[in-house]
Amino acid sequence: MRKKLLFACLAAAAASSTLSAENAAQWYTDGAQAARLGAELRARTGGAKNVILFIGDGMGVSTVSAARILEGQQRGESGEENSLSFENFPHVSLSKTYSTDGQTPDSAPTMTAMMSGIKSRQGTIGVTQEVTYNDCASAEGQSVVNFLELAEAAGMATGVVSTARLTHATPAATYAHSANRNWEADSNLTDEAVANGCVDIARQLVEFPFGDGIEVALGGGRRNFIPDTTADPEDSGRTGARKDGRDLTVEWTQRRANSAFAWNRSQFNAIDPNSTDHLLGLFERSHMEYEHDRPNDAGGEPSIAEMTAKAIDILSRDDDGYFLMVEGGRVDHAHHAGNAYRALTDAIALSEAVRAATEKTSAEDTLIIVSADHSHVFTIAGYPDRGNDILGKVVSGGVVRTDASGLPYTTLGYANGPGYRPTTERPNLAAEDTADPNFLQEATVPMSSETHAAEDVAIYAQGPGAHAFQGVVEQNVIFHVMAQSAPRVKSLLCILRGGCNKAADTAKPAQFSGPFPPEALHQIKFNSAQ
Amino acid sequence: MMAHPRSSTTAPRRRGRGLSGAACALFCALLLITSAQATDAPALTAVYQMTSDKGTDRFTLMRSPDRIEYRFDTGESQIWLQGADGIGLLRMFDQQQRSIEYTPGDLAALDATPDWHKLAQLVALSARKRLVAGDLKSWLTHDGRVLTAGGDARQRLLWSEALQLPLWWEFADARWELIGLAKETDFIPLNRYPILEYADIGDREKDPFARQLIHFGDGHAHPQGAH
Repeated sequence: MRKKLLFACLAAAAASSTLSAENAAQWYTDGAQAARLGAELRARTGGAKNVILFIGDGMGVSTVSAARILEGQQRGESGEENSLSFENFPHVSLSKTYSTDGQTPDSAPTMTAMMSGIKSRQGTIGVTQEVTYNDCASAEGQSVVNFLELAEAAGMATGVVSTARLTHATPAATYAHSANRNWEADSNLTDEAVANGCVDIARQLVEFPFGDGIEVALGGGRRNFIPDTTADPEDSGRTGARKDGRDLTVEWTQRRANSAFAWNRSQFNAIDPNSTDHLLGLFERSHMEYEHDRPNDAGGEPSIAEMTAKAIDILSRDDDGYFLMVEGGRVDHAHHAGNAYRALTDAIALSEAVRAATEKTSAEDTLIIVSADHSHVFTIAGYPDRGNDILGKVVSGGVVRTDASGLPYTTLGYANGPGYRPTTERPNLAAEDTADPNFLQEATVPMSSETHAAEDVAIYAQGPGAHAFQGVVEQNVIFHVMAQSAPRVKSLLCILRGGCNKAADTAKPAQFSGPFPPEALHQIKFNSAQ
Repeated sequence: MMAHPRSSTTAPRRRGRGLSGAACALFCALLLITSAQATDAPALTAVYQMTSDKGTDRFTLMRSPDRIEYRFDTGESQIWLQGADGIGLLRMFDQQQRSIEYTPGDLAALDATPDWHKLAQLVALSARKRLVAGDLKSWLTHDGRVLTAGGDARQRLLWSEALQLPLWWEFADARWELIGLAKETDFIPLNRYPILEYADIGDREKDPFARQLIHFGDGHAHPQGAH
């Protein structure tokens, strides 16, 4: 407690120092300079050799704002003036996240939109809106090629990194096609799915059929890759989830030369990116730990920034460029639990991963996009003073503010979720440490799990082609910006589509304007000179 | 305070699986466990009858050093697991034939990480000390067992040092009584039902089981038994 007080005093002193350095002239000059830089900004029109897509799962605008403030305050600043790494990207747009059958979406159709360029139904991955959720037969012939598949077919290296299970909806939408996002292991398949030949998501990752296979896959979800008769290497008494007896981690290392598998941090650290061509890392039986809890993990886990850096080290050995998707998957889970501290610290960890990527790449040849799949019912409320603890109670004019019943309230809150306190009156938080990592912010509507929200999320971008993000766009535009910015993928699409090799040649209209099934990639031979 | 294990579902359902000693008289049952150290919480199966104004329920406690199982009449079981990363929870619902798992991180994020000793012994050490401090009565039985009784205006407790469990406990308008005991444990296989994780239920609106948990849940936010 004394340490906390000391920290709070130091933070307040530092914040006070920051504020005292501010003055009208500084605001004016800084604002003018930003405006001038904006006006002078020119599009980077050269092709994007590399594309990196970062997704903060559930990282809505309010999460970004609160994370920015928390990060600044953790450095002893007032916080509001801070910027997360990607907030300095020059191009920003807003993304409309609804699915074809949902005003508020889940992660499956939203990531499908970003990866495949089309909107689709709730709970489905990499298939058109003609598919009925949980109906394998309805998915026949409805799979849609995605950007990672195109990149592999075009000779690029590819990678998937997530702090969630690698078979969870967001990472799954980069390599899989499924009428049900929950078919993560064969044991999750329904009888109908088995009868009609649907394949579980973990198998689809390991049996990825395009190019020379996915080079890097790092995240959680080990249980979906090992048999239910095999003991988990980390969690005593627990086993894998596969009923087919297959150990996909072994198959990963056997399918291709110079392949490796790691399940803990020390093994991960021992991987030499210069001699490893295909790396599978599964660091938890299920989702990886929240960033706050990661130091306590018995097996040891790399951070999302470390995974991103190693992925880039491996992928960048390919002269043809690469595509990498990185997901901060647990921002979403912490919000569902009504725990703002963990959601924000995971958002900050994602920002660190973006920083690692920007340091390892050049904006001259690498398009980096940061976005979210959807938002959460997470709010920043009241009129707290500048520099007020973002996790604290609302203090205005140096006075703890109270509600109509005279009780204090926090700046952060949720419209629904586990933070609802079942009392006739609001709980008295006066004596509660609301900055404690385990504190649950209050929620208005009682629910065991807080929900997603339907508002737009932001898209931040830098690098070749990033200037295409303008205004408010449909979420599936992200795929098309990536596709038109990466020359190799663009060329491949031209081959598939026909008639568009010379984009300006209107005399040769495209033969086909819709999305392609993945099978189309098997029918073409892509020449690396193209 | 006590862990207050309780079930969220109300459908009455008798359990007692693997409990041949469920009807065993308390005196006989205590004789089964004589080697336990006073500071240990020995592996055992204990059946309690809970009586209150609302009626009578039973629940079964089964424990080992790294696993504690609560089984309720309602068909819900709570399996608490002590692992390398901390305490996790698996809740099993017989009626729905589904389970939901809370990892140690999930419980921490919900501010619901329990005290392992409280889970195992039902009464928190601090509460036990407080209860027996004021009006302490301890006695040594003819077979070497130490029993301690204590209480205050609100609660009365009869505590077995050998079992590290209450033999009976009265508080508010409820009374708990140990009515069955065995030193064998017959734990439920963890994979008896398909497991859904708490972290995932927010994304499972299409799953009726998850939807029920999200919208109706337990009537309160935290996993039961933790608070």
